[in-house]
Amino acid sequence: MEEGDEELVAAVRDGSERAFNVLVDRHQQSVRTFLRGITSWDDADDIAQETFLAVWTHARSFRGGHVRAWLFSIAWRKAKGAQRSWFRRRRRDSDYHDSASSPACEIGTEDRLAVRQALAALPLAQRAALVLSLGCGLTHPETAEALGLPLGTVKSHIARGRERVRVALGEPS
Amino acid sequence: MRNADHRITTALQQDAPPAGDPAFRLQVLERRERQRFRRHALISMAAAVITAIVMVVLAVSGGRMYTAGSVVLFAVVLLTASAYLPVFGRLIRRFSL
Repeated sequence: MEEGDEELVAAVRDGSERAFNVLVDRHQQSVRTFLRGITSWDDADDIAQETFLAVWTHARSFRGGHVRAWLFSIAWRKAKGAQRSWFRRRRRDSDYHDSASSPACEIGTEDRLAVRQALAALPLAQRAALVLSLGCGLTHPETAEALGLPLGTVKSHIARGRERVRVALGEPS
Repeated sequence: MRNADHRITTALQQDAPPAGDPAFRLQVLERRERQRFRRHALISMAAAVITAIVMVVLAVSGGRMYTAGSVVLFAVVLLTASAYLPVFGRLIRRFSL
């Protein structure tokens, strides 16, 4: 029988390598999708790795609740920290060709690029709420838990972000 | 609105990494081991430096600070051992000692 996420975190807390591997395999896709939606592709994988490292070292800080939301909350804090980091900003600016070489562009369509551009124009918190809700399938309360924001704020972020993206994509209301 | 939602969801899903990505897991594990190695190396180096300083002080003082030196050395040994405790724990669990 498949182990639940909470059991896995408890095992990671006790130093289980196997549980850690299962946790990484199970959640890497959604965590990386979230981070790819709010940062650059290179930063996304870097921050996702840092997120899982934090899970290994700080598994004790898990106080129950949704493991997925907890993982996203770590990723969100690290993504915000990375935005502030001068070193990362500098690397991002100097590696402007990254976006051109990312798989998104190799197999991308105009529509996809338009959506990405529309998302990129949103404030970070709005973008994160929208990506978690629409891209990772989190419910509004889970999104609020992950971002550490009140439920009402998250709902308004999603509504405003959605409206701005809709306008940017030229869709009728 | 639904169409915009669909476009966003589709775009994000198309950009998603594969569900099973052993390379990513290996990168995480490699990074974790490097971090652990750096921490252990730092602790060991700090312990070695403190031990050397204590030995020099003991030698210079002609054994007058023997008790204080012993306490410091004992604390260093305890701190170093505590850093390696998780490793011992894992070894014990692995071999069910």
